[in-house]
Amino acid sequence: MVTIGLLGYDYDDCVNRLKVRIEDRGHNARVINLQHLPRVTRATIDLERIVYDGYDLLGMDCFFLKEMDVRDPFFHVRYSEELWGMLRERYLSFAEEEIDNLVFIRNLLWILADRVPVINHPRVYDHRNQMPFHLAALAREGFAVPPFVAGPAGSGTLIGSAGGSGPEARRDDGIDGEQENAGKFMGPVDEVPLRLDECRTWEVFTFPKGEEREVWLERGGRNAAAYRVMIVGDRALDNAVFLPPGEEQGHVVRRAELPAGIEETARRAARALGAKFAEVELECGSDGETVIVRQVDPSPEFSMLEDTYRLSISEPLAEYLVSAGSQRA
Amino acid sequence: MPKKRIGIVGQHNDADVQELKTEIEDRGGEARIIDLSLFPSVVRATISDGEVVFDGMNLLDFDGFYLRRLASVWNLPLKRFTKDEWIAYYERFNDYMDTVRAIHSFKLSMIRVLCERKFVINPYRAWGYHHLKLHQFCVLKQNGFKIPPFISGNNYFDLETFLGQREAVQKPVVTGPVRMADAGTLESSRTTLRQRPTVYQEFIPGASIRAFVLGEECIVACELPRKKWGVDASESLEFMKRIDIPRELEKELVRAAKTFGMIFSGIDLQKDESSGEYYFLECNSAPYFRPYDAQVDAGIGGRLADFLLERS
Repeated sequence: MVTIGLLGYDYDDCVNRLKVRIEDRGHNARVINLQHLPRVTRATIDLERIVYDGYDLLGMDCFFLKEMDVRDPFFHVRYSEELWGMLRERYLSFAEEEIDNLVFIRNLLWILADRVPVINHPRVYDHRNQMPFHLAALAREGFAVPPFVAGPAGSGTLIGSAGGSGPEARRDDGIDGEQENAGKFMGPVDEVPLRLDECRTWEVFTFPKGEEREVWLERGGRNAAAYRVMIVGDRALDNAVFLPPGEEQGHVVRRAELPAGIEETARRAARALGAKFAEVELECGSDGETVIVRQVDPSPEFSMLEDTYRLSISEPLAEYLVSAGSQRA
Repeated sequence: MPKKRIGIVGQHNDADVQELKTEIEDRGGEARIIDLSLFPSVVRATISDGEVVFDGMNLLDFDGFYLRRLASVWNLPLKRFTKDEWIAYYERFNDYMDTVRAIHSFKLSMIRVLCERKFVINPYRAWGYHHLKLHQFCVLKQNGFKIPPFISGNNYFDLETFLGQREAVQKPVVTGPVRMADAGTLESSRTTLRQRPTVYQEFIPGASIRAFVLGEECIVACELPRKKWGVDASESLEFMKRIDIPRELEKELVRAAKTFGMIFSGIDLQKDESSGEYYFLECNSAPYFRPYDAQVDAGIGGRLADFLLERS
C-alpha cells in the first residue's frame, strides 16, 4: 500500500476526485493544503524531516502538485468604503507575513521534490505562471507555436493574461488596454454584510475579480480545429477533445482518430517541459502538416473535462501516481 | 572588433550596478542598465519569439547580461499604501492584483528567455536559489558540505526542542538580521508563529567569512568580525578585513557555487574557533560587492566586468 500526497485545496474537485480514485485502489491519499500554513497548520523542516500537520511528508511515496499559487488576499464580497479604509493596515501586515509564508512553502516543495516524486515538479508548474516564457520555451525546443507578443496592451485577436489565472477573451477593438482599464470594475458582486470584528485576524476580504489586465499576451487566434490531448506519464490517454474551428465546445475523439502528428507532438511537448501530467492543446497548421502547440498546461482542471466530455482522466492519473509511489516504496 | 554589449538588470541607483557599468565601459564595452522596476509605467517592453524589446532595445542583440535584481518569487503588492492610495483602490483592488501578477509573469518570462539564449550571470536556475535558503541547506548537506544543523517552521514544540539542545541564531525566512536566540526569544515570538514561520540554526562561535567565487576561482575572501548579533551584516561591513584561506577551501567554494549553477557567488561561511572547521551557510546569487571593493580594494567589479566581456 502506498501513500500519495495531494498538494492542493481541500475543496478542489480535482483533488477530491483523485483522492477517491486512489483510495478505491486500496491506497492512502492525503490532501495537503499548503495555504493552511502557518495559521491553521504547523510544519517543521529540518535536514531529516518535513513534518506537516503531524505527518512526515518524506515518509509518503509520491505527490501530485495541483496548486502552489499565491493566496488571494480578499474574499469575494462587497462592503462599505468605511470598512475598506479600515483594511489598509491589515493588508499591509498580511502581505509582509505572506512573503515569508510563500518562501517557506516554496522551500518545502523544492526540498520535497528533491527526495520524493512530485508530479509535476514545481519547476514545471512555474510554466503556468510565465506564459510568454512558456511559448518561447516551446518554440526554442523546435515546436511550432502560434505567433505571439506580450507587452502593454495593443490590438490583437486572442488575448490571455500574461500570468496563468486569467480567462482568454476575444478582442479585436484595438483599444489601449491600460486606458480602458482605468477605473474599470467588472464581475458579479455578492452582497454579503460583513462585520470586521467577526473575522479572524488573518482574514482579509476580496472584491470580485476583473477580467482585464494591463499587460497582455496576444496569441494568434485559433482558426483551425484544435485538439486537447491529456498526457499521463509518457503516454497520451485514449480519448482526446476535438474543438471545431472557432468554437470553444467540442466533442470526444478516440486517439486512433487523431490526425497524424497530434498525439506524437503532444507527448514530445510534455516531455520537453518535463511534464508527467499535462493537458496539451494543439492545432493543425494551414499547410495541413504542421502541428502547432498552443499550450502545455501542467495543472489542468481535469474534473471539468471529465464532467463535460466524459473523459477518464482521474482513473489513469491515480494509477500512474500509485505506480510512481510503488517504485519509490 | 565591435564593442561587446552587456545588459545589467538592476536599478539605476544600485551601487553595484553603477560600479559594474563603469568597469565595463572603462574596458571599452557598452553597458546598459535594464531597470525592470520602470516597466510598464515608464518603459515599454514586448516579448515575441524573435525579439525581447525593452525601452527600444532588442535585448537579443546584446552579448551578455548580469542579473543584479529580478522580480521575486512573490507577486503580492508590497507597496506601503497611503490612506488616499488605499481608498483609490476601493472596488478595484483585485484588478490591481491581477495586474501585478501579469507584470510579474512578464518580467520573469523576459529574463528566462534571455537566460535560454544568451550568456547570463547568474543563470535563472541559480537565481532561483536566492529565496531557497532551506533548500540550499539540504542541497549543501547532500553534497558533502558541512552545515550547522537547522530547523524551520511554526511548530513551537519542535523549535523549543531544537533550542534546548544547542546555542542557536534566529534567521528570517526571507531577509533581515540574524539574532542570537534562546527559549526567551522563542516564547516572545510564540504568537507570531501563527503568522509566519521562522528559522533557527546552530550557532558556531568563530569568524564570519564572505568569499566571492567567479567561474573557477575564489577571487577574494573577507572576514566580517562584527558579531554584534542582532545587527544585519550589511550594517557592519566597515569592520571587514581581507584574509587568505586554504587552497582546499577555495576549491570547495568553487564546488559549492557550481552545485547551485552559480557562475558568480558570494558565499557565507562560519569558521569554528575551536576546531578550525569551516561551515557553509549560504551561497548568494547576486551578492553586494561594492562595499568590498570600496573598503578592501577587492576589485570584484573589475573582475566581473572582465569575465562578462570575455565570455559573452
